[in-house]
Amino acid sequence: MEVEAAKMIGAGLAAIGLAGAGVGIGIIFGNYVSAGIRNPSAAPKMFGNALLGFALTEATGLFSLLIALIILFS
Amino acid sequence: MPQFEQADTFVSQLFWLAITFGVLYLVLRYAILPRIADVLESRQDRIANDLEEAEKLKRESEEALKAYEEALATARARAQEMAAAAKAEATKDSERRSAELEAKLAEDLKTADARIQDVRAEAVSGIRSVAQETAQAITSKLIGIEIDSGTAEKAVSGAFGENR
Amino acid sequence: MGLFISKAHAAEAGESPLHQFEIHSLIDISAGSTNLSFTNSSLWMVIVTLAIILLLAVGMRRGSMVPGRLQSIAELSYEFVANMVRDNAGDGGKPYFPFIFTLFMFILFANMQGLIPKTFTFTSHIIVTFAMAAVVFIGVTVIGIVKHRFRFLTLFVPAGLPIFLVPLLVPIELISYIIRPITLSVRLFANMMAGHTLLVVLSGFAVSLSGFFVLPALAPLAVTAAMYGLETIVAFLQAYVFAVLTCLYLHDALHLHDH
Repeated sequence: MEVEAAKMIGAGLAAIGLAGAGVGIGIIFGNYVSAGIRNPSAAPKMFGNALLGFALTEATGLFSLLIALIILFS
Repeated sequence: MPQFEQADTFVSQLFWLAITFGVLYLVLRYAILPRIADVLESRQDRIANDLEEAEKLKRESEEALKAYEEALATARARAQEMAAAAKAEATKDSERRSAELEAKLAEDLKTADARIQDVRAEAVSGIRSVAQETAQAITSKLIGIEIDSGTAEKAVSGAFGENR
Repeated sequence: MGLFISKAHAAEAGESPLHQFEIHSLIDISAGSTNLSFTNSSLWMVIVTLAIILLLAVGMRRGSMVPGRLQSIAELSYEFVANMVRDNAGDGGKPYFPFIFTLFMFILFANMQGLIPKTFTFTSHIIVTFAMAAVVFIGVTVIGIVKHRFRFLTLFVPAGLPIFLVPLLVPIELISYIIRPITLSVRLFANMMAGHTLLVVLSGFAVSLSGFFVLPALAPLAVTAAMYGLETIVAFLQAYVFAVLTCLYLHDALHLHDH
């Protein structure tokens, strides 16, 4: 039972890593929006880059989620 | 996690992935993508052709317009030329005719002059003989002396002398 | 509502939310001692392959000047990937366009198909995504070495680097290069797996709540529906990112650092 509890705690700790991804995604889209307000004509061109940045950032967060899932279910 | 636990299925997954992906790649690479590229390219060509055609037609119409304007200008120039020629001709004609007329008038004048001269000479000579005869008649009537015509003529010409 | 029941079913039956990722054999095939069974994963690979070929072949069947609906889809996907390759891989990327197109369509259809209940998402298996990432990595490296020979190593030395920083930065560059197939494959795999797990967990809430209260059970259901929307975007985005990163790696190999 202690192992089970430790697993839960470990998974919870690992999921904290997602906070970083949340901050990162917020920064990306926040900066995208503020840049788009400054120069609306350039905004559509940068949308692909914003999505790329979003995916890259989200992936790093997902690594920690993955660790959490591995701890929980294996 | 099944992804890591079912390691015995890895080979099978890789095997089928290779087959399906390979088949998909080959079919797309050699059958479908060239076809899409062909269609897109032919559409591109078609659009370019149409544009070119339109351009050509436009050029042709412009050329036609230019040719028409050129023809118009030539015609106008020729018309002007012809008008000028006709005018020159007319001028020459009228000049010639007026010259002719003038010449004829001058001739007429000359003939008239000559006749006047003749008439005058005739008149003068008539006057002479009349004067001579008158002088003879007067002399014979007044003083009864018959003077011959020679003397009378002499006297008459003496009287006319200064006038001539 | 029936959409979510299949995934929810697993949760209700007390199975782990990861049950959906289990592979079971449909037709046992083995060559010697290796197991080459035709599994549910293989089945969906075949279905995805056939779906792509069918869609494109039927779409381009007539190849008319004025495209119909299916032909528009085929042409749109072609031009989408063609633009992606041109913008990201630069000159010389054209010969690799069919591969990137295949990769993009394969992953896109696999991700999308995985969102249909009762199906199996083979891109949620690390071995599949890793195999694709490894093919990309090895292919790109070979292309770079064949094209540039020893100059390929300058890829690990950023231009204008002060000499005393070389021993520090080269290992970093080297590691970030070698780690590429891992990040590429884990990104796709983790996205798919996390999304699908989340869907099952959320719809599990709905099912377990509906046993007691009907109305409150609608809340997790609504969240599940919203997650489906997000997962659809993610499914497309991950295929796009995989293809774009392949293009960028290709650009690195073709042009090294000079842009």
